[in-house]
Amino acid sequence: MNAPHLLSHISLCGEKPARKLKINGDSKMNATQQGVKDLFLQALDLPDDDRAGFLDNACAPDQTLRAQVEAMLETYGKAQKFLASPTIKATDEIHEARTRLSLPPETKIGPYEVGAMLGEGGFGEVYKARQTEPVRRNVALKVIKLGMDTREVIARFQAERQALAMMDHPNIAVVFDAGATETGRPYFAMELVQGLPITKYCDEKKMTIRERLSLFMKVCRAVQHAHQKGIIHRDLKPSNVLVTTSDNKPLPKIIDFGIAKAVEKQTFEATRMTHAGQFVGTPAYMSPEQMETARLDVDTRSDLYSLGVLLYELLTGVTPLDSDLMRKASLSEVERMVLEHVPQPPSRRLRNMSRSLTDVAGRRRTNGANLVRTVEGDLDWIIMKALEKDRSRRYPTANALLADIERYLTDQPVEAGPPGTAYRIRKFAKRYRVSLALSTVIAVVLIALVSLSVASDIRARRAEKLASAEAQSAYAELQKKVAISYFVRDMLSGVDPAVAQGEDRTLLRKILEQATRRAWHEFADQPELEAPIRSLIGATYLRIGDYEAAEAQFQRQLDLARAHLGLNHDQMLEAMGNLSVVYQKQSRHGEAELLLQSLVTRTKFLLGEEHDTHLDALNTLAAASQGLGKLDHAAILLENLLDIRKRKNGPTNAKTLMVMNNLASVYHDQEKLEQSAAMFERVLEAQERSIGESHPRTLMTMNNLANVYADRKDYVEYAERLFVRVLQIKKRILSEGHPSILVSQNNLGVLYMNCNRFDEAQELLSQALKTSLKKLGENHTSTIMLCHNLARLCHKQGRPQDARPFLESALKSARSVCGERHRHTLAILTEFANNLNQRNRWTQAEPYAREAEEIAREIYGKDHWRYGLPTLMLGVSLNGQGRHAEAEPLMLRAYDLLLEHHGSSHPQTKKAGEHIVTLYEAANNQNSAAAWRMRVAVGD
Amino acid sequence: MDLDDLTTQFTRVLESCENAETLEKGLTPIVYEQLRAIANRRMQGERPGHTLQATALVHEALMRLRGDRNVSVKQQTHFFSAAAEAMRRVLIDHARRKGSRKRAGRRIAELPDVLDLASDPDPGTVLALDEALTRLAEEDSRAAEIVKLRFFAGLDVDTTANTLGISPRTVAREWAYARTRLFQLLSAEDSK
Repeated sequence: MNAPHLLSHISLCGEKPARKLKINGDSKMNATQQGVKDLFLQALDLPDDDRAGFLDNACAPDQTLRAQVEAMLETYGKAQKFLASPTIKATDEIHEARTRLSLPPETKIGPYEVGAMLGEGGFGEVYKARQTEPVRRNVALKVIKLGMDTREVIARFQAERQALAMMDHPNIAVVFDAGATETGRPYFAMELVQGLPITKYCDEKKMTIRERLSLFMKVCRAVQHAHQKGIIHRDLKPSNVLVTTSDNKPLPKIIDFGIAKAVEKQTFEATRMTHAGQFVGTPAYMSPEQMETARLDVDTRSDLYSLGVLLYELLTGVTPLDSDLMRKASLSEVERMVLEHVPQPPSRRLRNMSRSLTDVAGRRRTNGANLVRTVEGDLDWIIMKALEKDRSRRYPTANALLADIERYLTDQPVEAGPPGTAYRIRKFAKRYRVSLALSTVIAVVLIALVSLSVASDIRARRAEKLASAEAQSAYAELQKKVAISYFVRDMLSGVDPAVAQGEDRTLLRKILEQATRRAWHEFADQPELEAPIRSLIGATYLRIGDYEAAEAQFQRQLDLARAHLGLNHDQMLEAMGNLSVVYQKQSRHGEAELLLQSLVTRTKFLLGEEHDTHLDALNTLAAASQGLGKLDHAAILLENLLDIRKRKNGPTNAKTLMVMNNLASVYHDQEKLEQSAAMFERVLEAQERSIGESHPRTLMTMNNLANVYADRKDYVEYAERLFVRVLQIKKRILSEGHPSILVSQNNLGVLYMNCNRFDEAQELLSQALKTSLKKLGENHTSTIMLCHNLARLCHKQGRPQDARPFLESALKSARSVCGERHRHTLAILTEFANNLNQRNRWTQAEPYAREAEEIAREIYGKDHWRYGLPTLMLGVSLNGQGRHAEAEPLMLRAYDLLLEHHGSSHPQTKKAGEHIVTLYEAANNQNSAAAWRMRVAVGD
Repeated sequence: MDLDDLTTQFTRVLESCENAETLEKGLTPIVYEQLRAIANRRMQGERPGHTLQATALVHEALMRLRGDRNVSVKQQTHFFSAAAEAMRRVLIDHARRKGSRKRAGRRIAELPDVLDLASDPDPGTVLALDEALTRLAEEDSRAAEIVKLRFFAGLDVDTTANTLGISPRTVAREWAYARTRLFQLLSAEDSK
């Protein structure tokens, strides 16, 4: 890059003139400095202790050079944090912009003598000023910020002047004049109103709701007047509606009519503006269309929205969209809030206030309960109608709003009522932020299906010859229709329909199939529409556990994005994320990992390191790594992720908890049981409090925690209780054969087995296996897991001959699903070898044991206790074949490993000891045999 | 709309310029406006002392300017170079407007361990840093370029490597050197 350097170069260190020119990149570097740099970097790669020796050699004759390198290394130590935090602080700049604006007192602008500053706002500042000619009067002088084309602003104002002059209303402040200051800032002179913002005024006077409403109606009348003259305010907010007391009555005055338009057009048309992107209005009061179309298409209904906000605030004391939140939010977030976020109705907002409600009510001379009751219903509806995102659904005029308030005050039914069905379906479509075409399709699908189910119902009734009842029940049918459409909407859009407690999924499935079919027809040439709907359908399949169907949808989304939208398109990233989750769910960790590595790189590059999409991808990647047995890697990923999440989302945020859950699970795999249990317990506590016990995420945590307990000897009882609780909840809310139920059954079964409660274990596990085979098939981790555990159960019960079919099936599936070198595969191979050894089929056992030993060596290493069992199996098999000398070191090694990990009295350790006794007996080494027999017997 | 205008300009520049140098020159003012717009927006109503991460700013700027267009990886590298330069200018302009009395050539009184522009009350530091950077650029242009991307645009090592078309390891090494050398250049005058 060829950046113009703003500052001239000034020599700092009296450097020697360059003796030799050395080329580094395209710049000239002093040879000495280049030498210093080379040595510095080489030394940096060495451990501290080796640096001196290195420098001794490298700069033997040149002590100056050595000193320079050493100085550099020393500086490096000091400069570790230097430039580490690239941040900027813009606040000063903004403050400074303000101070620059303020005019010194007694400045004269045109015919005005500037006095005290009255206030400042988005446009600039307002001063009290005295006009000297042609008339003497006090005025308010609004001086607009720098950075706008003054001539344009004034020209625009002049263009509206005619219209402004037509306005003549006691509640509208008159704008007298516009001009330019000597420094070229536009200014407006207007009627001086020294009142309080309407909200403040009402609070100070402790006005009741009715008083507030009648004051607000005056404002509506004024706005109506202006609208009739063709003037839109565009920036209605409390600070532009000032209230004074006149004749003991509050007198509202709307200021700034006509100014927003003159100023704002400028802002958006200017190409070289200083304050680009700064809203002229206040986002909390801006209508969605103002936000969206940048005011190119704003009409009177935009003012009605702002009136709605104003009324909301008058009643509740807060703006519908949290203004604190908006201040903190980025531009895009603010846009999204205004465009999409439907605020809580005022009564609900009040109810949620808890503590501050008393204060709010007190300022309205009532108590909390009464205030809520007053606002609930009619006033809720009136305000929500004014606040409609879609302006065609708002009150058409200020008069209409006025009339509805009057109706309320006179106890007539208001025009705004509870929203109807059609309206709700539209809203449902809107929640997906999709185009009209797409929403129609969804609506059509919903309606088609709903009528389908209703129609069949009606036919059934006909069959029962209840024709008259049919007519009577028309209303009931309609109700049902509505109910079903709500259900469908919630199923499709709800955050976690997996919680859909006890709901029937058949209808949902039908809808999904229908939607899938329609998606093919409707979106033949519209990939940008088809891709997101595929994602939506896929996500719903995913949530009901139909992974294959979900995969097909996501794959289609990916193909569409790749072919039509580009590799960096949001849809592409989303599809990759979606697919990886499905792979993950199907235990296809390898595929998931590949996809995720690519996704992580892209999201980091495209969206930044702390973007949600990136973080989610990292989370899934960690899960894939864990699935592949790369535990340390997974732990590191998750520990870093947890730091970011805690900082970004807070310690009890769902995403943070999810990361903790995953990390705890990795700790479990790493056998850090205490760490793992402690972390799960924290997650569980937070989840029970926030989302309740039957939420899938809470259940997952319970299950995981129980697993950790089960591995800790002294906690088995807790484990059982927790497993049973989980299983009961899951059976209540999930369909039969859901993998999640199978996992719970498996876990409980294993627990029983380990407590020698074989019958209970047998029943539970065989039942679960039957279901798993039926619903999920052979090649599913649930099936593999169940087969493996049933085989173990056979061994425990001393009937190894029965274990064979389980083992064969499990091994075959594990090889293809988990991979040849997976810990599951290893476990089954070991079990297989054990099985054959128990049945004295030594030669047959050897290849299984050998493969197991190799895998264990590869994934755990020779010093890991998990290397013990496969090694023991290999030893036993060799010993059985009479190859005592080969078997001896293997078995001794295995014993040591098991002893070290489990202790001497553990059954596995004892078993290993017994095998060693057998070995020495077979080898005719009676002394050793006796010694080992003793050792096993005393348990040491 | 203003931001649309910038996006359109951004697109136009990306599509019209073949040559990397003119491309970055063309992009810089656009990115500059965008950065200022985002910074202003984000800072509205913030408490004094609130800071913005350069990384976040630069990435948001890219997202906004890109809109829903596809931007090739190569175009993005130009964007990042332009963003680093734009960010540098934002900071310099800021420091200068703060009416720093520290004229070019004057060293800052004491060099802090951590030079964090956000918390450094002395705008002279920025100017001094820029000066030292100019000096480093003459000595070792690649090292200086890395400082610009890493510090001003807040890019991480990998993205910097992508942008410059060199390996991450080289970036890390050059960055270690550049930081140390800058620190030396900044503190050198004191001892004189």
